[in-house]
Amino acid sequence: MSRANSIVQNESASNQVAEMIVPVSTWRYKVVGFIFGAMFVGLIGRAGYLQVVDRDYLQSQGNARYLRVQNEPPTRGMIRDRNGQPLAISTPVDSIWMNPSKILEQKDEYSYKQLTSLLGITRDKLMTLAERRKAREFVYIKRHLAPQDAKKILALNVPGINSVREYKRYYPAAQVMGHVVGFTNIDNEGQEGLELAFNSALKGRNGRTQVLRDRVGHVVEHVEQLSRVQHGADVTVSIDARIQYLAHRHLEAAVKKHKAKTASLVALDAETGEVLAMVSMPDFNPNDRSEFKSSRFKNRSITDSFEPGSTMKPFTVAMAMDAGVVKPDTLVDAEQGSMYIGGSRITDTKKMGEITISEVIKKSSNIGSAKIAMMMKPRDLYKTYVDLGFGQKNKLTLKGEQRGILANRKSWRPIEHATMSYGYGLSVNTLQLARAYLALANDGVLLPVSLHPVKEKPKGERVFSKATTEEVAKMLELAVSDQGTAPKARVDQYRVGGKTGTAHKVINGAYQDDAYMSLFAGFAPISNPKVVLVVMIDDPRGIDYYGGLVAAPVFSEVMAGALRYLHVAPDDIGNKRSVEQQQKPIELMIKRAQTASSEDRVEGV
Amino acid sequence: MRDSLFWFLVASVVVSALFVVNARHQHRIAYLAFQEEEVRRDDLNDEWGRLLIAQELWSSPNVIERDARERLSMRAPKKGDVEFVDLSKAGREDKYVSR
Repeated sequence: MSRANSIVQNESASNQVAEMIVPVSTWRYKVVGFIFGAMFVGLIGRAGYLQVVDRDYLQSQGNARYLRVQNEPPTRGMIRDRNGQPLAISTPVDSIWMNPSKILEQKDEYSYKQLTSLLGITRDKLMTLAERRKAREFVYIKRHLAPQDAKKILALNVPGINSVREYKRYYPAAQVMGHVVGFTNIDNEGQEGLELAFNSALKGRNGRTQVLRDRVGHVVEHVEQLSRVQHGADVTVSIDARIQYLAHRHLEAAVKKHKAKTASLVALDAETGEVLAMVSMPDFNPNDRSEFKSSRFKNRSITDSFEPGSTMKPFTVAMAMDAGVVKPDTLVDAEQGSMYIGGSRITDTKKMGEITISEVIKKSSNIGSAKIAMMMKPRDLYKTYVDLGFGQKNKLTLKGEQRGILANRKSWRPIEHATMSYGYGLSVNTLQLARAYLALANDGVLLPVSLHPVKEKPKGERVFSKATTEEVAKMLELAVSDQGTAPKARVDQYRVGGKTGTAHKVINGAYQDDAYMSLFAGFAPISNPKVVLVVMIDDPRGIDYYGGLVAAPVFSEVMAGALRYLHVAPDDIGNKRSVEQQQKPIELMIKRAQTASSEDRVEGV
Repeated sequence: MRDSLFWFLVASVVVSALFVVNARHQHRIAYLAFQEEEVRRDDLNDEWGRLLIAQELWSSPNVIERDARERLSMRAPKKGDVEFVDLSKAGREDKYVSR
């Protein structure tokens, strides 16, 4: 049984085996296996190829899609006055930009009604702008919006509309400082004045960071900081905003009152050469771009040259005194109001006869000044003027500074020599004239002028001796006395000295009988000068045109304020001059002015 | 011996990899905080600028002049109203107090 069983079992087993070894071909497996194997190898190979051979290309492609350099814009530095008062501040604004293709894409879905009304433009305008710039991804629609207005626009959530933070310049002093501070364009690049001169320092440097961004633009990872942001540095100027404001107000009032064309004013610190105020008319408001006209940008204290007229006489006298040719009480014959040199006639406003050197300054005698000059060589006069900085730039870092004209001649005709002694035949600007007066105020030492605070008193160059300048200062004080040409220049309780100038304007190469430059240059207090001030008013059209009537009152007002602001102690206490007393000589001057002959070519008061 | 070194190295690699992950995460968090602070700084700077402008507006000479004149009824003293005191000469102030 057991055997039989085993046979049966054996049979059945052999039957099974026979069934299993039915010859099924295995090539299908092989083919499938091979195909899969080949695909696998292919993929591995491809992966290897991409990783090893094609790596650089792919990496750069990937980077190009996700790696971005993020710019961090620096804030522009402030401009401050000598007391730290801000004159130019950057304030954040938002600019709205769009992605034009996105805007065009969805123009059927969106009416853009709210958007355009908030932006203040029409839908058509938005569409034409988008159409015109559709090749770009970033197009400004509206720049420099107040942050709260920009927020309203972004709250509409219009796809393709975004904002970017920018900074706008704001000038608190507005037109008072316009010419000195200048302004920037909409991209925060300095265009005029200090904004231009110190653009790179004020601007700072962009910070650059390499970042990975996802599809939507979120920063996923900071890869590398390429450079740190460098915010702009602050720039401090030597100008005192209070004096500048005062000067601007009085000069503006004078321009209006006398219907003048232009005007300028420069105030210098007599001890350091720092510019305390620099005003020019017409002015402009740097906050208001609609006012921007290049004729208004001109900083006339450095760009406009004019013949200085009688304001040069103190230098002629100082030079003669230094040379030992004259003393303050030396007499010169100022003739009877007119004199011929060569074929030319020079005149005074009245007959003076024999007068002292002091009176030449006090009464502003052209003939006297010419005679003093004639005692010396023409070249000496020229050399002194060169030493005083005329005909040279002051390198104030401001654009457009003019040199003026101071011609050296091989031979000087006597009339050229004579007229040059009282300020004709050369041209200067207000700053140059102020700097030359600084030499008289600073014991005869000429200092360089600076628009920035000066820590140490600069070493200047001596032009006149100390004794001479002291004498000349006394003469200048006489010029503002009741008998002088400019009693209106006086400042109560201070000893003030200065010289008027009224020069005929040159238009198209000819002196004009009815167009003048009205000047006053001086300093105070005489006992220890602290402020030098020059006022120039161009072409006053009212009944007054003499320097003593037009420019001198401005000088008086501004000087009084400047001395007070700078805490300069009065040096003339108790010598009160009543207002009535001051007015009398003015009436006299008006009479003089009306009777003065205007037929003469060269004239100065 | 060799086996244990092998496993030690494997474990080290794994652990250091985890540290790298952690460090990256920390960096990200710290950088975010840093950026937030930077934004805060810039906002404060912006506000400071706005405050400066406001201060300048309110303290500009013409505003003060107008307020002094209209709200406080002040005026600049006339020439005759000003009494100058020469301290260098007088020396004693009580002389002027009685006036």
